[in-house]
Amino acid sequence: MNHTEKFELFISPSGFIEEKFIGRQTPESAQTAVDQLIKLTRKLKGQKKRVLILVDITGISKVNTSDRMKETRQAMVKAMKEEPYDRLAVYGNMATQVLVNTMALIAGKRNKVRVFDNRIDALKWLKNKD
Amino acid sequence: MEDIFREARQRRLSKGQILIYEGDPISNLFRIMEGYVKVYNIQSDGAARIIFIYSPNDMFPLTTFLSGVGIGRYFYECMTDVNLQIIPQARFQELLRGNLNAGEEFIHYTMDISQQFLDRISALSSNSAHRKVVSLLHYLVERAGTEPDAGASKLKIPLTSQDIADLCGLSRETVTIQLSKLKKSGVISGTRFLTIDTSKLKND
Repeated sequence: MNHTEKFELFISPSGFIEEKFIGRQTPESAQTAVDQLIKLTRKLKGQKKRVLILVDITGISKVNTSDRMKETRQAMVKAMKEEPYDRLAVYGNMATQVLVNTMALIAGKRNKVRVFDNRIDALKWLKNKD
Repeated sequence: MEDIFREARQRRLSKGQILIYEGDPISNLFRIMEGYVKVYNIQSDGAARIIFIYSPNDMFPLTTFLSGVGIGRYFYECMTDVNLQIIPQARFQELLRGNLNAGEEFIHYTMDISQQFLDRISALSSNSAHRKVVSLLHYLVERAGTEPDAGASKLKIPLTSQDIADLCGLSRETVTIQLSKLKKSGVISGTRFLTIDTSKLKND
């Protein structure tokens, strides 16, 4: 499996950007996933659209906290901090929720990033205009 | 984390003092400098269930902080005299923001603690009383044991049979039976400050 097969990225019929991670990630696969997500985010924003992102991390059973992933984690924090998205909802298991919450805290974007146990709650928050 | 907590204020608490009650609004983050704090809830039958033990250098309440709920989900009680650093959560967040090195350290810490939480929950859901007590002993050596000397680690916190029962989700009577068996096989010795033979524990 090459690193582009470890995730899927598409625009859903509802207009969200959806990214789904599949299996254990490598620094290369996670970095490619982030790069492509950034590209799509900027493209939609360039079209003056509201950018809502839904990320499915239920397919990641174990979080890789090794030093090999350090640069990727930092790239994710930087993207959370600087990219022009409106809301980012992530759903998955508890360990990945803790990781995303911690990264959102470091990025200072807890108001724009939320984690959930399941897709329905994530969608509900994403669709909420408040 | 040392840099971030440099401006924290300090507070000394006595053994038995409850620092946070379930349902309390929480706006601070605490870091233990000395001592041990237990985290527990009260079951519907009135029994206490100890979920976790925080030891020196630990920060809490992390789940409440990270989820942004702002309300304590558990009771936090000092098991010994405790010396704490206290920093407002908003200030911690401000100091952490954009600090990628401290951020990396915090990520490792939160991941490690959340894994320990998951391990504890998994151990608590075991059906075997023996397995529950053995898992707990491993956990206690990790959290509150001295460095093993000649294969033995002494716990730095005093524990009664009732404490162990609350930590395992078992009755005190069942715990007493299990502890007697472990004493007989030489895995544990002592009374309130247990000494655990880590090599025998590994094989149990």
